[in-house]
Amino acid sequence: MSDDLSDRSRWLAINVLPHEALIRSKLNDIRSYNLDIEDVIQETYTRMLSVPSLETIRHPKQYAVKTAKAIIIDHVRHARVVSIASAGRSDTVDVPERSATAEERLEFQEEVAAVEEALAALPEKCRMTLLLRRVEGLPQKEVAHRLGISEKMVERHMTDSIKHLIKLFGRGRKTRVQTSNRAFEIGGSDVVDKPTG
Amino acid sequence: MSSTSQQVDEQAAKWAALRDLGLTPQQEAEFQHWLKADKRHLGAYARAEGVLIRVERSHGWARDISSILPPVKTSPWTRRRLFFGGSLAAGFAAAGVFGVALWKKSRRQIYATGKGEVREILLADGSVAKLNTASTIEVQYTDDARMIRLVAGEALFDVAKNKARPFVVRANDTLVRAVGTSFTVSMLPRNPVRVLVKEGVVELKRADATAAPLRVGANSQAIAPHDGPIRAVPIDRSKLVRNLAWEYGRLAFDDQTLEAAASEYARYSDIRIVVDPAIANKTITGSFVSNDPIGFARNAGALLDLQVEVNGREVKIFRRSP
Repeated sequence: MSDDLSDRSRWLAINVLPHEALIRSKLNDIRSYNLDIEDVIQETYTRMLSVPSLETIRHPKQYAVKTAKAIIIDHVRHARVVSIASAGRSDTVDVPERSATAEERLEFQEEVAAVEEALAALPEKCRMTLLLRRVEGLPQKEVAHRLGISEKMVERHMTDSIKHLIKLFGRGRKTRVQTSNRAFEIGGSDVVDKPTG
Repeated sequence: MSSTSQQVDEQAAKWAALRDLGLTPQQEAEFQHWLKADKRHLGAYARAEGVLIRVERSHGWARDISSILPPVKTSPWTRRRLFFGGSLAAGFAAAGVFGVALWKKSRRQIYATGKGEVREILLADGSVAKLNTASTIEVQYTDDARMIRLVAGEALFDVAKNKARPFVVRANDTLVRAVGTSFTVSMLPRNPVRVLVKEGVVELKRADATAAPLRVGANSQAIAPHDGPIRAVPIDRSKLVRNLAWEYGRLAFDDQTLEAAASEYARYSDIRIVVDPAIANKTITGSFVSNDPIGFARNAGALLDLQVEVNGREVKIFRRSP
């Protein structure tokens, strides 16, 4: 799978998803607007990935927060939806960080630990299915054979694994969020975070 | 909004699972329709597929790294010995540390080329390694992984796809992991490790680094200086093709100084090209036989109207006397 959608998903997986818990924590004011934060996150990713070229997003984390805040504002104003094309203009939200040192990159080791931690929390059959399929790259039939389950169950376990992991990753790891947060403040303080209308 | 975010996530998870396992044309049409049906769907889907990508990406590395490298705290000496074992004894020692599975079926094979030689090696899994001049690789295949160590020189790898057995090339402390692809790794004296990607994608990482691997796609190169971070450097296709001319036993120059061309030839032959400093900056363009420095010198002489003199194992290029 190397189509455009998968490339975009990969970009999201590397640049944004590891920071989802942090992004969520930046949207706490949402509660007063009676909006579902999950709706906002989903829509945020849609908007980000609808940008013509992802390479123009130089600071994905900040971009995500700003996009999410813009979406909240849109909803609050009852302005239906800003068209994808106009929401995608990177010059409106992708402001450069103040200093190069503020560029805070999640250590890959932490990502490995986060993934291992989440995998450990999956039900055994789900984890086995996921690893055989996605890491070992075995065909569906072979996965079913190895685990002694039907091919339909392979599909079920895959779906359940993904559902669980979306939740587990979204929650984030307690230790990481703290440290990332500080560096993040430096670049993110000029966000428009109050609706004006 | 018709469905809850929870329902959207469930649909997205299902589509990501189905898409991973392969969609029928009809399902594909349904999927495309679903993607456009709600402004949350694309984002939710990308996150669902992203989950799979995160697992594949980091779990894959966790395993590669732990299977070829000792834990971070060991001394440099142990580390050096463990990687591909300095000896059979070291191999057994490593097996003791990591469990026998990886090592028991592995056999080390060494391939090398002399100066001016280019050699193509068909590896056991169908991958092909092409060695450029004066190059050495060590191949170690196990059930779990395909490990290559570039000991010296330059090699091109056409990698047979096999997700279950990662293909990892190590040059000094740089690890290059292929994701089904064609690429070269070079390690030349006084030069940083360099990777040229002809097709597909590779990922680069320091052996002991904790940072994310650098992903480099087709038609690009990556440089791994010993004193700085690994970085991707753009390269245009024509330059890439020139850089790979050795594959066909040729060297291709584009406006290269005679001085630089001569030092390039030194990699391929013991016959030394000596360029008179007065004309060292004259440039040459063209494709020449890589292991024939005398032929190159004669061609250069004819093209640039210079005099060429062969003396034993040395060929001189200098300004024609008036």
